[in-house]
Amino acid sequence: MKNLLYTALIILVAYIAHLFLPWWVLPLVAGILAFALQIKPLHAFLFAFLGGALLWGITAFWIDMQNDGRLSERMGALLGGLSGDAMIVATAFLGALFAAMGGWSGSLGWHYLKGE
Amino acid sequence: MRLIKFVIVFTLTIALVTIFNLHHPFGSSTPPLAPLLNPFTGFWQNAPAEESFKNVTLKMEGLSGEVKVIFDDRLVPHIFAQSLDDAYYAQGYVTAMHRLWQMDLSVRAVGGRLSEVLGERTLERDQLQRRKGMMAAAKNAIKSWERNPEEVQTLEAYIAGVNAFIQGLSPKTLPLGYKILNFEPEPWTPLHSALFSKSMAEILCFRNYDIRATNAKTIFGDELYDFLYPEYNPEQDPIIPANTAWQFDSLVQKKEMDPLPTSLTEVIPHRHLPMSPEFVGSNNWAVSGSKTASGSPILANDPHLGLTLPSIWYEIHLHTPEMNIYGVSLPGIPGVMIGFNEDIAWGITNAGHDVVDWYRMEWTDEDKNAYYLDGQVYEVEPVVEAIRVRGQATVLDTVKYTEWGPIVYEDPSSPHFDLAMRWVANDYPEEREFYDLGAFTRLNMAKNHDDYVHALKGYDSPAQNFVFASREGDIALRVNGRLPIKKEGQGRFIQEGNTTANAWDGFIPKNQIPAALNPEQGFIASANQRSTAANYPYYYNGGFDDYRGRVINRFLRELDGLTAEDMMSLQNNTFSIHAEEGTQAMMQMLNESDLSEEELGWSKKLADWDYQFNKESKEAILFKAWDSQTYENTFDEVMALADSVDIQYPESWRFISLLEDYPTHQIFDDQRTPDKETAREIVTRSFKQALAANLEKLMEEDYLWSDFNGANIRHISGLPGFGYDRIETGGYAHALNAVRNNHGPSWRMVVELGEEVTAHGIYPGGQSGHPGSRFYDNMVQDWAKGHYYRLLFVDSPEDLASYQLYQIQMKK
Repeated sequence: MKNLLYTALIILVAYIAHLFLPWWVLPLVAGILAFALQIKPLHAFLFAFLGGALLWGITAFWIDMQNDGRLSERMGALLGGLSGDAMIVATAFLGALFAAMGGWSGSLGWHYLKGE
Repeated sequence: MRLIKFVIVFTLTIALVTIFNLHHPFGSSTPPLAPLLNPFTGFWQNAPAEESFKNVTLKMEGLSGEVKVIFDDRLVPHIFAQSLDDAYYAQGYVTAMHRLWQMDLSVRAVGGRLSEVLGERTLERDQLQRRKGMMAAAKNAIKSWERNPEEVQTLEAYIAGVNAFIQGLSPKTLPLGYKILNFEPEPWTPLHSALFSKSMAEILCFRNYDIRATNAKTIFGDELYDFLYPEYNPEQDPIIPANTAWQFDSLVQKKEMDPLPTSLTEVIPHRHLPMSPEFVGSNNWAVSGSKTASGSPILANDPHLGLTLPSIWYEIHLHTPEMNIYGVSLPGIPGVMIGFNEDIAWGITNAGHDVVDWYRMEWTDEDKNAYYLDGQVYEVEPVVEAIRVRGQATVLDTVKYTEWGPIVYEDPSSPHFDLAMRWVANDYPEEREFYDLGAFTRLNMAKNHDDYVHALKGYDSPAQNFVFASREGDIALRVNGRLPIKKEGQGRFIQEGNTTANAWDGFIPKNQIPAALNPEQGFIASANQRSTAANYPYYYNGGFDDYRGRVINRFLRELDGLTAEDMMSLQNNTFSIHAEEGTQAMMQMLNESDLSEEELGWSKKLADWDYQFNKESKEAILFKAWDSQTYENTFDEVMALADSVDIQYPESWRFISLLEDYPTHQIFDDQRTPDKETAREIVTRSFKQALAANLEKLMEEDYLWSDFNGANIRHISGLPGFGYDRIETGGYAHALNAVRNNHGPSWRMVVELGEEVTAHGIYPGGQSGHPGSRFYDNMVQDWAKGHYYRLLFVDSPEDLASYQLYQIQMKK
């Protein structure tokens, strides 16, 4: 339950933070939340991964749908011949990766400080 | 252990974050991926939703009253303002809103500032731009505008609008190009606008063949050179009707001039600077009421330029109490370049005059800092150009200016000589009432022929054929610009730079430039051909079209009762006199007894051809392949040299006339074979070769002439996926619909000046320069099909109600 709350909080807090701060706020938020919520390292990685993927992936998907996929197709062609859908997946994956790394770091930090 | 784990993961996280934030990581050309893909500020934010056009009210500093900008269903802004300044301000704002990235990049490209953002790979290009004096020329243009307060005011209003848009940008709303290349826009200044105007000069009047011609003449000798490269095509039909009587003598008597001082006798090692291809031409014409169905004059214009996305043109309508103007503008310049108002319409084509000449400087010593001129020693004026390079130290390059112009080529292997360039676009204009900007604002508000003539007095460069028609019923054309007065033959070859006897004799006074008003023939047309017949008192040096002008004149002479639709179909006409004459000349020489059954079949097909370059035409493919093959086999002597020196190629019309009149001339002998060929063998052999090489394409149903022609529209900085690699459309370099490769009609406009002015137009692109917008390329396919849109030239915002997409209200 706590883990799912962690995921939900990442989505919520990072969403708001993204409106004001650059992209690297995502791993930062995931890390701080993992630390504060005392999430276990493996869980932190997995549930932050989920949160990052959902936040970036759904946002990109939503924008893409409203845009009829015009730009994602062009950007895909620019970035090595990917399809528009692949651009959404790539975006989701990047979000997932950074959130997961941030969450993992935060959790390991908490583990270290706990000192057992 | 836990500490080690934490440190490892934390470090890895930081490393990943850093790497994905890097511009061009590890020497690749990858943009910073994480910020670019971040859906909250990255490229996704440049992908607008379909229904994102909501009316907005903006508070603007710098406006004197309220401005209403209504975007119609093609995203054309209709600007309703209470003063001219407010209109130009709004023009600057909306242009930047749609085209800022294009404006920025174009200006960097022309001024030699690309490396600032693109790094070392554009350094050489930047250096060349500086050596051509583009930056210095733009500074001269500003100095001239500054002499006229009204032009300063116009420009400042426009610039304030551009900057108002730039200031309102955030990381999220930054145009896509900035995100991909990872830099931010700088404030727009007069220098930016001046550079943009110089980019037009570069595109339109930088054509010069001096090095190539000099080499050809040196290698082939005078006799063969004059035979292969005559100055003019006698078949050409000049712009100003040949029966025009000139009411003045030239300032200098053509005949009495001194012969040119000795020309060069050695091959020039330099390669020509990149320049616009031959087929960057245009068509325009005006037909008087006597030849139209409605009795009102009709004006048509289609400038042929590089076809890019975003397009070079931005469509706009400006309405103030004193002005109501519609047309296309250049992003970066206030006002309308080609268009119409309630009383007049005008269009432009490029004038063929050669305004670039090269002088070989004689240095006093190997330091190359002083040169001889009329027996005296002159010092060069060094200008240090600082070229900032992204990720590297700034590169300093000294450009040496001589009395002629900048030293563009410096050849280390030639210690005593280098080439200086004399180019009209680099000039500092003489003092007068108003300059280029003022010329266009006046033209925009012109009411009749007198106003048009007056407005053009301020216009210098690039010289253009300004066609004109008015509701009063006048039609006119002026070959307007700063046209050098040259001696007979001057400017064809490189000249010695050590004597002022080789200088131009000033410029043709504006009241003596080639011009026509209401000619008897009932129409006036230009297609970049020679301006005047031989009876014009000044020597003409230049010219590049031989066929389109003849086609227009042929049609317009024959036809009466013309309508706007006729003009549209003429603009889309793909018939070519070049193909007609070329095919017939080659057919005459084709030895049919030497052909196989299959070859004979194809030659019959070509013999029945109507010389139309429709997109499906197989004959067009065969003709073009055959023509090129025959040309190459004929001029094998020239081709063989092309790798080692820059050399002029004989013109296509001359090639045809050689086939017709000199089929046994030695030029037809292929040096690569032991046989002694005449045109007959060359033409027949070339037919077989061309057919064999292209048989597959000719048999394949899906392979079109437009594929062979390479019709495409490229993205302005060549990004894959952002342009069209392939466009299905008819057209040919020597047809009115002059599509070739990524060049062609960049704007088609037809205006009928009846009781009410009605106009149609289209360009191959879209109003928005944002690749995520549905208005990025929405007109491309209609353009390819030859369709037009009715241009919404209205008098009030209410008239646009049913076409309105959304509006921006600007308040002070």
